[in-house]
Amino acid sequence: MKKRIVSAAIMLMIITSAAFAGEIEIANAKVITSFQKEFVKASDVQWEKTNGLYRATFRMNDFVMYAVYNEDGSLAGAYRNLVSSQLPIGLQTELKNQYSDYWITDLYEFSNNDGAGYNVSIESAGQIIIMKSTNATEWQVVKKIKK
Amino acid sequence: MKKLLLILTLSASSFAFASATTIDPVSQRTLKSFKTDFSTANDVKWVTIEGQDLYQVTFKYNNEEIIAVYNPEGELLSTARYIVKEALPIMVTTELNKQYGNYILRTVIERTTNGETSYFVTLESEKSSVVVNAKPSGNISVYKKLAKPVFEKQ
Repeated sequence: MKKRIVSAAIMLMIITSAAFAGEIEIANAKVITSFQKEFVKASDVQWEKTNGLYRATFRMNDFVMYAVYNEDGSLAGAYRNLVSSQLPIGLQTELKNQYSDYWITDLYEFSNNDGAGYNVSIESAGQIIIMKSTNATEWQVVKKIKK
Repeated sequence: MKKLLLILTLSASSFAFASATTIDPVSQRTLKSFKTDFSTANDVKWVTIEGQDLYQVTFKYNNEEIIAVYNPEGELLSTARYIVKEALPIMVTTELNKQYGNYILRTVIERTTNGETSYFVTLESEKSSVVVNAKPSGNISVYKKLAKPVFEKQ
């Protein structure tokens, strides 16, 4: 019994240190420093590395968010999913008044080198519309797809 | 305090605020536009803005209090509402954390005017308060500095 408890403790240590080492390896010090400064209240942070970019998935202010960093620690982009009531008022009313026959299938906020804004995909029985807003005031149609 | 800040916020737009009265009836065009823009609004109160030929309307929409300004042609010129800090755009939050990490965020007003949305954030430290104007991109400028904290200690 005693042997089992000791083995379990060692196993736990190995797992914990491996996870810690993995995080250090995945996100370099510059990236982690920038991240901690920019997303002070982030929790449940998980890192991935893809195509030379570091992606953090985390929770902040009750949102699941994503931040993408370059090797030098500069923020390449950040994203979070939203519900329509979290949109700026102009975007909310436009969706409600002009697209009342549609339902929202995807809505997220983005911020990257191209600027900051919102993307929405809405769908009706016969059509899908993808729209973008960079002024947080009105939507611009990006694409219309017939079903 | 809240009312004062809303008025201050709206007064930063292209028109200046004079005193408001409830004397003149609101034009039909304006009423029609308002009903189209905010179809589910309730607790609607209109006032005219003296010397400006503009209408200011205060109402509730999705359980939030909003102030909007219309002209007699029915054009929506400006809106303002309080929002929770969690609703600030990502880059505004990150910039505030970087630039005002030692301050406590007290209130956020979202203002839309001239086709642009910006955020007026009141921040407070031990000795002073500051109202900053933040663009959705995270560009922040000081709107007003106040010597003393605007809110009482809790």
